[in-house]
Amino acid sequence: MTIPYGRFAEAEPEMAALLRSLLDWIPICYLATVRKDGSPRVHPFCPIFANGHMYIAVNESSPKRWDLASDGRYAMHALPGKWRNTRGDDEWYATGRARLVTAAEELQAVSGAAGHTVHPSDRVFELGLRYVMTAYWENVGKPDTFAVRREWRLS
Amino acid sequence: MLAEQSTMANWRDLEDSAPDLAAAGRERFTRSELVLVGSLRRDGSPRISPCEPDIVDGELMLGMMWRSTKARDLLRDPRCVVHSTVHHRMDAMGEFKVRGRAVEVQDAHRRERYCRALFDRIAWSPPGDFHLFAIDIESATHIYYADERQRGTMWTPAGGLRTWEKAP
Repeated sequence: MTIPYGRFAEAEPEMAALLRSLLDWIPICYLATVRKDGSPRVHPFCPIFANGHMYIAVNESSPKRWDLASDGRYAMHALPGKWRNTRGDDEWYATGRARLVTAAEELQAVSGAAGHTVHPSDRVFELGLRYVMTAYWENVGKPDTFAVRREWRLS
Repeated sequence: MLAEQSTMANWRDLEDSAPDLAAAGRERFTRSELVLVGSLRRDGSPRISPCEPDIVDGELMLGMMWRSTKARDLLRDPRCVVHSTVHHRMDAMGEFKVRGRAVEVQDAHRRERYCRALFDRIAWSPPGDFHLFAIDIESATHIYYADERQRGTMWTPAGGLRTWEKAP
């Protein structure tokens, strides 16, 4: 069970704003999936936001296409480091399940919203959310530094 | 009859066998001083966590907070991916990743060597308990883009180097 990104963002606007700020800096996140043999795979990707949903467009020959289609479980992490000197390496971490998008209207919306080219042969998945965690560090560079974490979990 | 080749290697083996690839990896891992580690949760689903890498005495090492979730993942199932991170918007150096198994380092001398290297880098070393893992490498891969083509180089201990090129 997951919910679309937009419903999470309504419930936790500050956590959503942090992701947008990190993506405004460098629009890259990293996606972890599960390979056929059960081992983890990690790839960079550029999330696409359209009509309150978060998507990933995957090249048809990409191995993560098969991971998302067959298992579907994913974890993602935004790029840490925007405020490294003051907040340490910010974390924006989420887990959920991917859904293959096949409806033409939805695919058109994703293609129109993407900041990069979505090829007709690409496979598009919605990344539904089940859990989100953010973290930053207080007292960066000092012996008593500690992480300030915030969690959202689909109830 | 050919001797069976090992399917695991450490960072020094990578450097000896594929020095250009190892140099690209060292640059990728050490410039941002940050990697993302893919591991497996108890239920087999993926986790991805930031971590600071160090290459010490020919080994790719990851130090982790005591009983952190990613450390507990690796103690339960050592399969992992260590992935480089970009460090600025126009970063064109590509991505470097190591797939392998995390082996916990308990030898006091190796832990001391790691702590010294860490202190040399950031003027800090763990004051108390911490987990330290060395990565047994199954494959190392560098992917970058040039002339609107994706180019890749992959090394495995048994298969050596392989390169490819394709449209992105």
